[in-house]
Amino acid sequence: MTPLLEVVGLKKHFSVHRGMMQRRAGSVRAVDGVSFRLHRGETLGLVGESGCGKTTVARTILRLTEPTSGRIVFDGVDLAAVSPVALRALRPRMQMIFQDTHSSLNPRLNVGRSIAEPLLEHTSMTRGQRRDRVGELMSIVGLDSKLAGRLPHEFSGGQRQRVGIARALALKPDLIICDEPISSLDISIQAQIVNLLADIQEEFGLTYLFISHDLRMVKHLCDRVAVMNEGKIVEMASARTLFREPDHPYTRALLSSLPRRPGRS
Amino acid sequence: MTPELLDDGSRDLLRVRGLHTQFLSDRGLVHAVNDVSFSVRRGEALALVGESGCGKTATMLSVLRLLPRHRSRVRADEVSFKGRDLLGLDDEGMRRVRGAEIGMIFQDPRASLNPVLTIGRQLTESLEVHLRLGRRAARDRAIELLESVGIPRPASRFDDFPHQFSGGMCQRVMIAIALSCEPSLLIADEPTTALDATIQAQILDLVSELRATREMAMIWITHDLSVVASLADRVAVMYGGSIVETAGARRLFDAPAHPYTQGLLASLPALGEEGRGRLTAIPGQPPDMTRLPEGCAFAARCPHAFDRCTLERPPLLPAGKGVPLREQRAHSSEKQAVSAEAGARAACWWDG
Ligand SMILES: Nc1ncnc2c1ncn2[C@@H]1O[C@H](COP(=O)(O)OP(=O)(O)OP(=O)(O)O)[C@@H](O)[C@H]1O
Ligand SMILES: Nc1ncnc2c1ncn2[C@@H]1O[C@H](COP(=O)(O)OP(=O)(O)O)[C@@H](O)[C@H]1O
Ligand code: SF4
Ligand SMILES: [Mg+2]
Ligand SMILES: [Mg+2]
Repeated sequence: MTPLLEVVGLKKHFSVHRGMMQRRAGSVRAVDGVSFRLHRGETLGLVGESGCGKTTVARTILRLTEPTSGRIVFDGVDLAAVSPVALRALRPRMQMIFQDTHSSLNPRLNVGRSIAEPLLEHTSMTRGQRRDRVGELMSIVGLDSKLAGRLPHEFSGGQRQRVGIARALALKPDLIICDEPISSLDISIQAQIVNLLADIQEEFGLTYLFISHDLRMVKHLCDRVAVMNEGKIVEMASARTLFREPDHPYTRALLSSLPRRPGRS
Repeated sequence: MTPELLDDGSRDLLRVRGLHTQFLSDRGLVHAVNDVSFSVRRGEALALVGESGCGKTATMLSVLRLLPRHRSRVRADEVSFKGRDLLGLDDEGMRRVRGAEIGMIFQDPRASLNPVLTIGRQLTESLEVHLRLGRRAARDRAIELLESVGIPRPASRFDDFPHQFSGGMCQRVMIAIALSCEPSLLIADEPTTALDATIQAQILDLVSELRATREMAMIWITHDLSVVASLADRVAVMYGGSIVETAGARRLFDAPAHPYTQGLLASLPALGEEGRGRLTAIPGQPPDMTRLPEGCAFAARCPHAFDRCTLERPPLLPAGKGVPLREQRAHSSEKQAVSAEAGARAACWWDG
């Protein structure tokens, strides 16, 4: 079976400018030759220290950033070779959930409107249909649809993340890239959101690329894990193997800093 | 390690009793800190954990007297440092304590650095003032400090301004400044949250070493339980503006007494367990601090809540070593500060 997503030799180099004259001082190899496959219904964890290139991988896959080189094949279609019209048709099938729920939602739009935005842009639904779909989406993510008229700042971080998830689900995507979806949330709320992500994955057969530095959550949620370092994947294994026999020193250092299982063994 | 007695004959470096802090806001009166008592001994590491908005920062800023006077109300039965009453000090005296004896690292590193002074100058300034080092010696020491907090090639970054440093690097500079005056107490407010795992480990190692060699005590505010496990001797868990449980770090992880702590620990995914299943999440959300309930602040989310919980706020009392809480409560009715000798305490009516 063809993988849902195949990334081959992906590179993204940013040029760096310094000083008054903005001389080109060199380049940052944010992503430097990344390859992996993601199968339908699978969850792949992407871990690695801050600045190693995880978000850049996500953004290039979604074409929010143009890659320097490499191939991104989504459901058998090479995204670089495809026409803009065909690319637009593929867009709804790939969505992203962000870490910062403050800046990922428009502060002036009520949350119902935010959730409806992708519907407005990509479907020809009527107003009534959109309203029904927004209500449905809100109930899927555990929000009372009576709250649709409220602004994002009236919500807690966990509720805003639910709004972000509802919005990502609006167009019935196949792939959702979750970039640190729980790291800005409170400890007592993280488990709620992780459960929600697992529930909707099962219900809608979603495929996840799950970016996180929380190895416990990665182990809990992911089938396989890729460890990134300085723009490259240095280790990729099933979650089970990675946690039992971590190979890379960075993975080992992270694992050793985890607290013991409290209460139960 | 047995701490020496301080001037007032006690072992507590910092002692806080009955602290209350309120903020005036558009939403009404925010009850940020409600009857908080704790103490820290020389060389001891206390972790203060809890979710955002539960009053951790407000507690520390109240102790350090750094809250804006016109927007906040602070009162306490006691705030003493090395036996000296901090509430009675004038502003100048308080400034001296903060600069030289208590080192501080704040949550927002960029906002606490001066944008128009170089990184090097901000460090040498404090070294010259507090340790009375000469220019040359201060520079050498500053470079050493920058190196110890993981700034690569510190000599070449010495004349950089804060905006040329990444957020994580500014955080490390703040840590270097806080440590530069060799304080006997370090108060750090979520200092490693913005740092990646390897730098975080490096900073925690550095801080542990300072504790060992200089008997530096610290209060480490965090919501990261893995940091707590690797760093703290003792943990105080805050919820809704109050300390709801305090215990030795080991004990807290092995036998949490308060339903909130139990819920937090149970919601962590297991590392050893095979198979996935659902996480045991705590339902609901933290309380609105302008409308705290009369009884237990956790009641709306607690699986064990019963009628008394909503009527009366539970005090912080010894949690039993297998002894029912009820019996212990009969013996300790008076309010006591959280201290190292006191063992585990929890604020909960439930008997388990
Ligand atoms: N627009 C840009 N211009 C220049 N450099 C950039 C840009 N975006 C990212 N970078 C650099 O690329 C590298 C990778 O950044 P990226 O945001 O992908 O890291 P990350 O792994 O997601 O980190 P974090 O865990 O902190 O989110 C970093 O060195 C970063 O400074
Ligand atoms: N200057 C302020 N004015 C009004 N309310 C404040 C102010 N500072 C903090 N608060 C409120 O006090 C409560 C405790 O805040 P804080 O101590 O910062 O929490 P924490 O550090 O635990 O995240 C919160 O409800 C917060 O919104
Ligand atoms: S006092 Fe009652 S509501 Fe509060 S934690 Fe204990 S059992 Fe739960
Ligand atoms: Mg990122
Ligand atoms: Mg805070």
